[in-house]
Amino acid sequence: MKEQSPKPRVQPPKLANRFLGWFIKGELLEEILGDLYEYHEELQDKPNWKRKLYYWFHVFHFLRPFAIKNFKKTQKLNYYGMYKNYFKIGLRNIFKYKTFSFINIFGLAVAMAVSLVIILMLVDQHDYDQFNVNKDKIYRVHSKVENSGIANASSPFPLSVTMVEDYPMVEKATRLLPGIGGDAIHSNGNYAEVRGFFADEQFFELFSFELKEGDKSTALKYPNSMIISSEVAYKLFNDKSAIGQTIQFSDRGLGLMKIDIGTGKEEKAVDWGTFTITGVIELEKYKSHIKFDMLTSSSTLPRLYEEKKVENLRNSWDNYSVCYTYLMTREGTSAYDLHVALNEMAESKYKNNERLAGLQLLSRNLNDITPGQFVGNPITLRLPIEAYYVLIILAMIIMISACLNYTNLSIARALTRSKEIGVRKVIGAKRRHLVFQFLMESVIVAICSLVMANVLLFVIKPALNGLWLSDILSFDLTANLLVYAGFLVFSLVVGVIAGIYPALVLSGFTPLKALKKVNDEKPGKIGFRKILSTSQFAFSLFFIVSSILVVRQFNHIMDFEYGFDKENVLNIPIQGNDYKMLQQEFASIPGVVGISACEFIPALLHQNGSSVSRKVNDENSFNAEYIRVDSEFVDNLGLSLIAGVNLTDGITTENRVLVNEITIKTLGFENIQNAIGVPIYLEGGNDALLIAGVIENFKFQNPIMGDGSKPLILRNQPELFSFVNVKFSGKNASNVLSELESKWAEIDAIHPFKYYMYDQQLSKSTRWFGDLVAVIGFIAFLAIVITCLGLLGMAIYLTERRTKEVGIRKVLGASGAQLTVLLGKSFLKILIAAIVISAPLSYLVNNLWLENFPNRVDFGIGTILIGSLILLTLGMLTISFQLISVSNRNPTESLKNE
Amino acid sequence: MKDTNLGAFEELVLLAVGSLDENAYGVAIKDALEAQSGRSPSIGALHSALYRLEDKGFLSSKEGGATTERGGRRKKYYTLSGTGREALIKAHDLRMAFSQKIPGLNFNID
Repeated sequence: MKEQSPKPRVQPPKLANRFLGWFIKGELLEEILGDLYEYHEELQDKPNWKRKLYYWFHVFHFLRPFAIKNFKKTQKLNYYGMYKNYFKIGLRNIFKYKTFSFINIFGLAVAMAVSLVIILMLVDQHDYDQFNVNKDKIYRVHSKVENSGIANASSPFPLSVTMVEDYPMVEKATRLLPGIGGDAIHSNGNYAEVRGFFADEQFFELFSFELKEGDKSTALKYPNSMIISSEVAYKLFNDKSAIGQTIQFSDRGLGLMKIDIGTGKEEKAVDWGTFTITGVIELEKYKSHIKFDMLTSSSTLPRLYEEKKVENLRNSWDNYSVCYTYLMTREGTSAYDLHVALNEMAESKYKNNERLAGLQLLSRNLNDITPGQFVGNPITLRLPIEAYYVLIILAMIIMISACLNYTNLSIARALTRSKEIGVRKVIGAKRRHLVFQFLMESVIVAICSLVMANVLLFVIKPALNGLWLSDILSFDLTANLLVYAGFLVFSLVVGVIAGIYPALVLSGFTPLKALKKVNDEKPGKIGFRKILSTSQFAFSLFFIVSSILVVRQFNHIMDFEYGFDKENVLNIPIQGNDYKMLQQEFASIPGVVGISACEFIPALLHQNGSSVSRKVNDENSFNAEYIRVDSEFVDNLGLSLIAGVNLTDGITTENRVLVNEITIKTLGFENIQNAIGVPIYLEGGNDALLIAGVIENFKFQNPIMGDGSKPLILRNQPELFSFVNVKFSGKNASNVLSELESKWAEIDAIHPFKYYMYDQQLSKSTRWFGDLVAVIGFIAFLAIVITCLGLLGMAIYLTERRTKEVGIRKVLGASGAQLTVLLGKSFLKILIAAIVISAPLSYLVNNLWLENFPNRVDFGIGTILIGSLILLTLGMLTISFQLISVSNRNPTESLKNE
Repeated sequence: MKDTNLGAFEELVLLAVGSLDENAYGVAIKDALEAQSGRSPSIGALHSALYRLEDKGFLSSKEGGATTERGGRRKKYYTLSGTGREALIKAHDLRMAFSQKIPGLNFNID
């Protein structure tokens, strides 16, 4: 007979047993499990999966009334009382240790307030474009040139039509063509500045805008139709109905965004003819990333092409920054399908294009536009998602710091609570009960913090709205009920995160140890808590160094020496008028000491680069700033001519240019005089420009964008001028202003007089950096305060615990000063460790951003040293009061006190 | 008054317990049922019936020896109680009495 080795015993599926144990009455379990096991054994000839299956089958057959346990009855018991007790003890602990509670609640509240602001921002931004019914099916096409990191929000003109024709997955498409902005004038004399798009009929099929007046199916159908915002309608027609009215439109090439610090250059007003108002739209009702005052029917374009008022790009695939394309896909088309289709399209159109080969067409869902990744050429300026990541990281650092305070202080207090833990355990509390209890306490603290954070929000919100940036970014930070519910969940999560570690540690005490109050922590050794504190201070040092650096950079930019006269200079946009006429009129005003004209105002945000070479099509070209100015410009701004002659007016001298010293050096002249009369070529053009004179270097760049030590070329081309610069004597400025205004009214009856003080323009152009400084400084300040509070808490706790030791040492003859040093030593170690870790890190990280500024301060060891010193001083100051008071206490008090 | 009727499946279980005498516990009863009737009830159904029968007083039980096959768990042995026996006899009599009234049905009891 063959010997058969017994099969190894296969255990029944564990999960099935656990499931059975979960629902079956306890008293039946043993018999049932026994039978099931035996049955399982009987099946040993069957394949394993079959055995398992049968086993499960039989387990499920126990789901019968007789066997299922009564779930309700078992849970009722006395849980309510237990939770009530936890809650009560939690509250008592908060009130008993007021200092600690304050440190915890305040720290968490501050961190929460910052987080809440960011949540509010994100909620607000997320609301954009949600009113569109088809939002999930609508995509905007972005174009990205090869080797460029940033995609453009715009795309080529023919794209939308071609996509609809070639790909059935694209159901509809619409195209918004910017580049229409100017004055709408009604025959009754009312005037409004309008900026907007050419839009086609499909616009309303994709987007869910409704018209307040007019029929949206035909509003954009016929040529010369215009839809205006209700605001513009009121300006033009007051309360009368706008539909069917006609207006005269003259285009001034105004851009979409109204950032009015007078930086951009303006184009001459061109009469585009008469338009009929076919619709009025209440834009305030829609939260859309598309902003406009007016939409003009695309069918108007052929006429404008013919009149040569708009460049015809209808078939141009080369120009990818002309319009915004929105595609609506058919039901069931995935984003990936569209992605593939666009790839194909880009491939077929650009494969053989030398300049644009590798251009990518990318799709972005409407939901991901605001907030979305940074794109060039956006319709409206919004904080890109990357900025939110930075803000979120900063907020998280503060939050972590506050949570660490809680963790740290809770563990430190473990000893005082060990008796309670012991008693609870002896009475029969399981570990999970204790974990729950401690978590409940941290959640109570977190909810208190939430209340306080909401109070803080009242302070932060107005401050934030006061920032210049929020004017442009237009945040709406009002919270609704849902957001508050979100806050509550957020605070619960924070409470659990802050409390989980101490809860796990404290609940792990064995009752014996807890009751005997065994202290296995030696006074000098803090271990885990030390690491926490050190990392907090490392962050703080990083923040301190960054703040110092940001402030220094800010001052550096503010103190920037432009090298030209910016005081008492008014820049007046000519708004389509003849600059010569304005100059003549303005010159007659007493108090005006100089008048000049220019294309755009130097050192503000607008720049105009051009390549310069000494020969036609020379390989060795370099980039220079190129500004058109009149003959008076150099004198008016107090620039000095160091060689040659100034620019003169007149067509024959239009090819004369002024250059700065750097240009001369870059062109390779040793002697400045040798450069006079030399021809140069711009942008590879064939027309020679002659160097008429050389001016001293001055800073024509905005300090944030560059240090202004670049080659510069000035040329007198009156047709491009859009600003008149008026210099006046400082004595009677207000008089001059009112005179200027009345002179303006004589020349231009339509446009209101606009002017900008040059020095104010300059400081405004750097203001966003000031905002940045304020935000970073504020966050740094909070981080440091929270960390110091945590340190204070630790100092209080640890010194209180050592009062007896201090008393004995004192009796034995130690002096107060010696004791202070003894107690302070461990804290000093933490601070030094933090500095050692953080100093190199903050040097490296700060250099990363600083390098993006061409015009920057020196950043060396000095800043780090100052930062470290501040950290040390702050840290020591925080704990010194506590240390000194404990060290100098009368030993009889501390020793008597048992 | 408790329902002391005997269902068809209950009757079978009762018979099986009786036939196994001293050795009637869960799996053994199941095997006996399978051998005799060809029916293979789920363990759950069997336990449900046993539970009901014990509740009605037809069965009594006691706990007994554990084996390794059972993962060291004790068996629960069932025995017929007096009322159980009576119920079986009653059920049998009822069946006989009825079936004899069926014309042409011959049970061949010698």
